[in-house]
Amino acid sequence: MDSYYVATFYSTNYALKCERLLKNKDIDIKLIPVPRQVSSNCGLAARLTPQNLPDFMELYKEGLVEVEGLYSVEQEGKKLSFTLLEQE
Amino acid sequence: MFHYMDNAATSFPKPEEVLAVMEHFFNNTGGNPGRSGHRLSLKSGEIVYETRDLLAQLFNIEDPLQIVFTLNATMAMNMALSGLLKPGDHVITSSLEHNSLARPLRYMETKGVEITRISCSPPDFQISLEELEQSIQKNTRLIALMHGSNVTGTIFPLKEIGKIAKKHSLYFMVDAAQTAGAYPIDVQREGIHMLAFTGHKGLFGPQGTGGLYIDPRLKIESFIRGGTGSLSEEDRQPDFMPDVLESGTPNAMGLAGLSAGVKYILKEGIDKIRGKEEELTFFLLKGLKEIDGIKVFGEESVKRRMPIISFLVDGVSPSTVGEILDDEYNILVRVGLHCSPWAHESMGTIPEGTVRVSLSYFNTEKQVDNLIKALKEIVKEEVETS
Ligand SMILES: Cc1ncc(COP(=O)(O)O)c(C=O)c1O
Repeated sequence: MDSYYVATFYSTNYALKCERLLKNKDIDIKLIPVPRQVSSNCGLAARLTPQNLPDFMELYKEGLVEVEGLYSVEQEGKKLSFTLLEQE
Repeated sequence: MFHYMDNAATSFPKPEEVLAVMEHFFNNTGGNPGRSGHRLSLKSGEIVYETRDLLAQLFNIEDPLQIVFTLNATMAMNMALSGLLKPGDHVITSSLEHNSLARPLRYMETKGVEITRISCSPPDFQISLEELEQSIQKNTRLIALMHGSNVTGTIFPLKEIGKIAKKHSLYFMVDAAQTAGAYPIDVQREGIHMLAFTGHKGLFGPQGTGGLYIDPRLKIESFIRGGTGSLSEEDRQPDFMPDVLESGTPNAMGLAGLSAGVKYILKEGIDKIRGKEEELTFFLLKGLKEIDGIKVFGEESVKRRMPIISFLVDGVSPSTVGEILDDEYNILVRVGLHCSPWAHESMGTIPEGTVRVSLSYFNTEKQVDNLIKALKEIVKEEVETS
């Protein structure tokens, strides 16, 4: 079983800002199209590994990144299950 | 070869990286920034974001998303004034302003906005801070000023003006068209609420790029609404920055070029750029002073002025001087009023204006020398002047 996190944003610019702030900390997150299982105002989402999550949460708590929703994703074979962790 | 000395109009040449980055964008990136989910749209969005990020570094702006991209400084100032001012508001400005601020203010006057112009008189054309503070009224909302003059080269003391704005709870808008990239600017230290800049002068970007920084505590109304790539199911404009003020596809390739210009400035260091420009200004001022029959305007100390120098030649009209320099010496300067009737009114040089030489980091001492030699010949009438 594979697990990761997906963050959604209000705008592409927020997604790009989040990517840049994490990159500045040498953390590579991947921007992806929003998975169909979740709805979002913006077409871009960020995919985070469990290792990335603490740094991401730090930026989020400091108010430096604005997030629409944060989901944990469990992947078993072809099946993905999304759990909402945080919502603005 | 020619000597280009009209950098206050637009800088030339630019660092070669600027074209290289634009070419790369043209050949490889192409996508519409932030509109689609595919990789080229994403890449384009990242490039535009990086440009915001670099400008935020340069001006010490905390949140890059508080920068709105525009076509130029003119559009930025129109956006700021029309989005902030209401009938009955009072604005304080200076008598050196470029038409890009003077004209929108004159227009807003017809809509019930009150204006006070603080005079800037010879010899240094500096603003009087006492007069500025005394002109504050109950309905004063905004101090709107240029940082560096495109005619006299005067540099206004932003930090002191910012303090006055803060003390009286006024907004402070700065036109940094002539100083961005060439003189240090720190929006936090200087207490600037809105900073208008243009990409094609000291920032070494292409024409058609510019922007407005807006303090996060300040909300201004948009005068243009449309697609942003965000909240697409909504037919109302998003209220978050920069989308609230940034509708329609931006000049992404131009902004890529601007990012290379700003990177170049950050790499060279603004102090080094400023140092070189001060040196060239020193040589130019010294050379001009030695020529009898030339009247130079403005501040004498290079520390307190931009590398922009206006002068008159006795008995020869500015337009004739410009023509001779271009035709006989391959030296390109700008003559006339420089889009700044207010400034020339202050100098008493209406209607003919002045000859203006404006230097950049890429000019050389040798070029300045050649200009001085040419002017000496013109003054001695060794070339035909009529
Ligand atoms: C002081 C000043 N403000 C504003 C501008 C306008 O710049 P732009 O034409 O890029 O909007 C200029 C340059 O022309 C300028 O010199």
